[in-house]
Amino acid sequence: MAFEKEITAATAGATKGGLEYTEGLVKRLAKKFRDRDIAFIGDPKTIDLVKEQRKLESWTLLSKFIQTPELRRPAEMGFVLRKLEKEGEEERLQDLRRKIQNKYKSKGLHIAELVQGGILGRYINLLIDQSEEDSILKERIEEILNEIDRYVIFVKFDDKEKDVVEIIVNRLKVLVPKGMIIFSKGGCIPKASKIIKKVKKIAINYSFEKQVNDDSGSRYDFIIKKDEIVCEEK
Amino acid sequence: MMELLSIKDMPKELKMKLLEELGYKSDGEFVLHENGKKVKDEYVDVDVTLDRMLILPGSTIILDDNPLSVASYLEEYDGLQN
Repeated sequence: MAFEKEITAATAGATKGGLEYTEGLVKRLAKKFRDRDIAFIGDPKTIDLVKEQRKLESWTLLSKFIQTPELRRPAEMGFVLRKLEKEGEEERLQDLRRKIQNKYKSKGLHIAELVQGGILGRYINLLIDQSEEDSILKERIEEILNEIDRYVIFVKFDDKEKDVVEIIVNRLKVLVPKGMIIFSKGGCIPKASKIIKKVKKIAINYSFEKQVNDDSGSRYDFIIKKDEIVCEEK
Repeated sequence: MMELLSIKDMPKELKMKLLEELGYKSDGEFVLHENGKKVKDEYVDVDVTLDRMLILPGSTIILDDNPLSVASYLEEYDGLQN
């Protein structure tokens, strides 16, 4: 009899020997476990969810370039968050967000969100289009993830255009990142558009790529360093 | 090939007996070491409860049932191939 059926029968009292049978069943389960023939899992959906995301082409691509565990795991969880969001599994989604935050702090959660929203995938594709070598791509991707709170900017409703321009330009000038991502959504898109227009005039050593996702009403501006460095003075 | 048995709906009493057989115990809510200390999920640092526990090979690894812990375990042990 399969273990599931045995467990059901034992707990329903439908087996001969009652308690003795249950104890025998537990001993057999434990022996199988020690022999590494069985693992006791919770909701099968949890393991399926993880394995399913690992089969995605986009994960295969990402995992090639993100090898640092502290960046890799949150990135992987971004795919799981996306799936949970798509399936409307709000409770599981929030539980996972909390666990990512506890383990990897805000930085980890932001990395997961970047993958969840598909932003990191777009950034990587953009870099690949520029025919970068794998080692350079890896460096660029890990840099933006390591400094996510500096190099990924979300334009918010309350932000003042002038302030955001200043923040971006200062970071480009002082930190000289290989890339920055400016994200905006809905009513913030016109503001982001004006911001980028101004930054473009100053950051001449960076190339700009805009992507708009009409379905989600989002805009992404990728600012990517050209070979030459140093920004022109304001 | 390793069998994956879901214990999500396994009665609490049976889970407790299984834990005892494997050298652990429970107060009815949390999974405990033999000395009474709560078992923590090594990947996400939460106390493991009876209703959300996984027991996985690699000596005996007791984890909370969530994707982050499962992915971390898979990466470390490359296990649970079914």
